[in-house]
Amino acid sequence: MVDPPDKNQHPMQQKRRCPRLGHDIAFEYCLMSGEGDSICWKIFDCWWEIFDVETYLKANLPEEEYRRLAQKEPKNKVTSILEIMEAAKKRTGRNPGE
Amino acid sequence: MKKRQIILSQDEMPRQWYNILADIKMNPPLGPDGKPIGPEQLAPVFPMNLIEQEVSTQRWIDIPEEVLDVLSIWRPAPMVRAYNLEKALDTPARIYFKNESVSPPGSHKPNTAVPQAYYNKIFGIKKMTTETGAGQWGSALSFACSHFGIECKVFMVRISFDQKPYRKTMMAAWGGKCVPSPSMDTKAGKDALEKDPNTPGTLGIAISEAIEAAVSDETGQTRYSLGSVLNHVMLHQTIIGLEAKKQMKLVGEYPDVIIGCAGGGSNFAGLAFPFVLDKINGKQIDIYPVEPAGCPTLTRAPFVYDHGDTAKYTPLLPMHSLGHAFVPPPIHSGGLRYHGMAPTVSQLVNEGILQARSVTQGKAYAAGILLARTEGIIPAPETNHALAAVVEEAIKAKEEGKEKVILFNWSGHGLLDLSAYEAFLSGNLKEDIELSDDLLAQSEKVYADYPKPGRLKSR
Repeated sequence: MVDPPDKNQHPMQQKRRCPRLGHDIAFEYCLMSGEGDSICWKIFDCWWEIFDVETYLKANLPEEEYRRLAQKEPKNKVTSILEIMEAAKKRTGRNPGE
Repeated sequence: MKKRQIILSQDEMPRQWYNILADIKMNPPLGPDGKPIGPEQLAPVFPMNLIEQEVSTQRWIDIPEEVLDVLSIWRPAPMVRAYNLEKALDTPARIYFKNESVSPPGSHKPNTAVPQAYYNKIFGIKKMTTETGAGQWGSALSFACSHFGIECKVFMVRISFDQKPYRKTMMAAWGGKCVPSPSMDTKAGKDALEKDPNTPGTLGIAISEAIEAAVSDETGQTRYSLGSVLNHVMLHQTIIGLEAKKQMKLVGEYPDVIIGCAGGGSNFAGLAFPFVLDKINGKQIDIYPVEPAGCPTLTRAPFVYDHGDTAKYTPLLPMHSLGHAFVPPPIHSGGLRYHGMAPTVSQLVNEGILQARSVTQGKAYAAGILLARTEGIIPAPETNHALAAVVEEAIKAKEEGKEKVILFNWSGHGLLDLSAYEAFLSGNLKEDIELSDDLLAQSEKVYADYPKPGRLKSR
């Protein structure tokens, strides 16, 4: 997790519309709203119009973490649903269909 | 009075959906084990009749009468000739749009929510679960479930739940139960709250809760529902384009250009796929899915790390470090950015049948304001991306002196998204709005010839 931009240092600390949620969110939220509290995979595409998000993240993330984020692609939706389903079965001890 | 609206009668509603899987080849999705996913693997989350549609390659699929009955509450949706926009842009193009904002929840989403609720009902399902961000999909599913006597539970990301209280009320009005996610209703929610009681929630947690609620129902009578991306969702949305084809025919037109905004792809696919069938069969049409402009400089593959920038702290740079004049490159057919999209849309982009394009958020909102002031409807923010591309195409037609026919999808209204407009109108979206200044000034001229209303006094 990186620190969010300092309000006093950056004029565009403000919010922008999240295309996934459909309303305004702060940059800070994007730093924790990805899979398992990680950074959202859309962070570059959402914020490049507002400030130099690449430089910011490159400077504030460990090299490996930045590399993973920059190369990150979301999974196919059906695959992802199956994974979430498997995780839910493990959590609850339920196995539908059995 | 000009003939602005092109209306179909209820009897003229399409009776079948168009399934694009009959006409394109797709690789099957792979499961966590790397093997193709079989229909039975999805059975715990979706009813088998919808899974059959998900994998069907039958070109035309009958729309059940019970579904048509509910859709007829607002369908056939009007097609509208955008005369005022044409005038504002002084374009020779003839511009038409399908108005999907007329549905009760205000968007195209119920076109699939209704059949999904119906198929769940006849499969014996009593309760449907889903997640929602801003609430558009949750509203649509609540509306649909109310017509088939199905209980609906919506996990709404906490940060959205707090920002959009009216969405919860809409869902409740239709009988849906909307809870903030994380909730105490699921193990996934409890775990997240235990970790951080003040968490704003994420879509990932909300999806986990919705799926857990479905698979942990010991009666087996709960299923999960998704409002975008999947094949059966695209299928149900094709009623938009099938109606549009009939409406175009009524006025003796056929589109040269088709435009829709593309997030998950469903409203775009709904309008475009029936025309894609024509394009596959030889028609000359330019079909554009439009999405927000992606980061232009980020190199994702192959990855090249810039070792010249390893300072521990770099102050954030002023916006537009790329320059105001920078034009984002079009998305390449390889479609790196299209991985979050419906696989069918991605496939058509890859094959060159669709040409993906992107617009900046400033241009999108400027176009939205222009359309609100000319055609009257305040567009949903995502619709604005399509509108910006429509404006670009209309201006291009003027420059080329071509009488093109442009058809686009007005996917929803923005009456519950006014804070985004507030940000734009108050100048907080500092974007390249040179284009919009001219167009906004021009848009006011649209009403120059209109009669001026007198001053009325009630007393």
